[in-house]
Amino acid sequence: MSNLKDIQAPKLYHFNVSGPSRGALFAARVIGVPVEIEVINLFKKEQLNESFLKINPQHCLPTLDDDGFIIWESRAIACYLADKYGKDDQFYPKDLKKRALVNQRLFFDSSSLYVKIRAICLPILYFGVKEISQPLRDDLNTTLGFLETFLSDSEWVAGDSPTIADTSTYASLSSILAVGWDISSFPNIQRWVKQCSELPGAAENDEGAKAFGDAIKNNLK
Amino acid sequence: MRELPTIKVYCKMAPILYKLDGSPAANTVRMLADIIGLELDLKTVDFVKLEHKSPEYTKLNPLGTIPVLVDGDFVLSDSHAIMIYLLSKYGGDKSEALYPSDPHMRAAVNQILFFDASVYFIRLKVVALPTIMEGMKSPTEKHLSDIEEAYSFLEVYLSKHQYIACDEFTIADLSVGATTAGMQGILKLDANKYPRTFEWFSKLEQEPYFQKFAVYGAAALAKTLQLFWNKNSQE
Repeated sequence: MSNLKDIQAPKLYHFNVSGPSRGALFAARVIGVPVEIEVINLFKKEQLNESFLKINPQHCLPTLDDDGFIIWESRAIACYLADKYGKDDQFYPKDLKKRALVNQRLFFDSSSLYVKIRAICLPILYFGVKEISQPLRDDLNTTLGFLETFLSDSEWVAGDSPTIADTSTYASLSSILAVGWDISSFPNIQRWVKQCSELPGAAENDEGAKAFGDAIKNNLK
Repeated sequence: MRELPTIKVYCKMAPILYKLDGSPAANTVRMLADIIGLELDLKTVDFVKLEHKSPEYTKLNPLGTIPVLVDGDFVLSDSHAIMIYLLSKYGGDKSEALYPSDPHMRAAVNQILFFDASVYFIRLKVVALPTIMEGMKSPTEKHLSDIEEAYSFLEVYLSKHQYIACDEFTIADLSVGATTAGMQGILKLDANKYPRTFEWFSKLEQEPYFQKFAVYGAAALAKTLQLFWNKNSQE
């Protein structure tokens, strides 16, 4: 029989200001898999340290080390942890159509929602931009309209129970909410944000999102 | 005990795929269908005529993205999600090789699919869309250096294994391959700078399905972009 103490918890290279990094950790929290956290401070450019480049030459966060198996891309990490460590398939359903929907939403978050938020915030954080242009604002609101549509059709982002699509999407969205984004015209998103805040790990996520929001607000005019 | 013969009843209607010849994402799904021998009922969405924003289309896919799959009463967008779905349902014995169930290999494939979705394809999209929709005259230096950086990421992946996600050919190669084909109309892969990526891409180009969809589609995209760059520069 294996001794639980002998099993090393997967290590997550993490920085709580980063939305994707919080997304992977939030997924781990709802799945209930213990992870050992090693902080890589992006503000101090620690991702470019020789030791981290050896682990992930693409030097992005989060990165997971599960007993020597290295993987990055937050949503791929969430899928991996859910499949490997989930007590059941609640957070990443095995049913063909349900999983297809979760996957679609994960790709929506990674290729659209998160990308629009990144397009607004990165130039403010790193390139001296001091305001949010109207086209970028409109672009994100259009995407939030899609999320609103998903959430008017179902209780959660990909169906009637929470999945890793929710933790991933919430990690992205909470970053821009912490900047003070107005979501008063999206009632279903508001409802869902409240639901998410009751999931395990949400408060921890919000703490990082607040740090992100403060950094952005600090650089805005 | 003898096993009862399995009888598979398939819906007679082929799944419908809304596509555009110049869309790398649609082409990944078409390549996959070709590989697993699945017939698709193709419908073209005229992007320049804004058909992807029409009420009929956005009813199917509020996002207005291409491709969209309609399989009976099930509607699914996003090429990566569509590939995984089609493989699970129609892939038969090809399913395991193209999207391995081994947790590590699957995670490696997913990693690349998400890299394609959130980083690589975006660097193509931020050039293509403003060119066609907003009168952009040419890609900026930043656009080009971002594509260079993305190529260098591929080079890292391909220095570790034969194919993009692992030592086997998977759907990750289809996604990144089609995006790479699409990129060629913006910035050609330099064989000296990215030898492994160039070799991998040349190998893909030898496949008939890759020629038929990814290369043919990329040529259509390149032609469209060039046309708009010329037109936008004159205005």
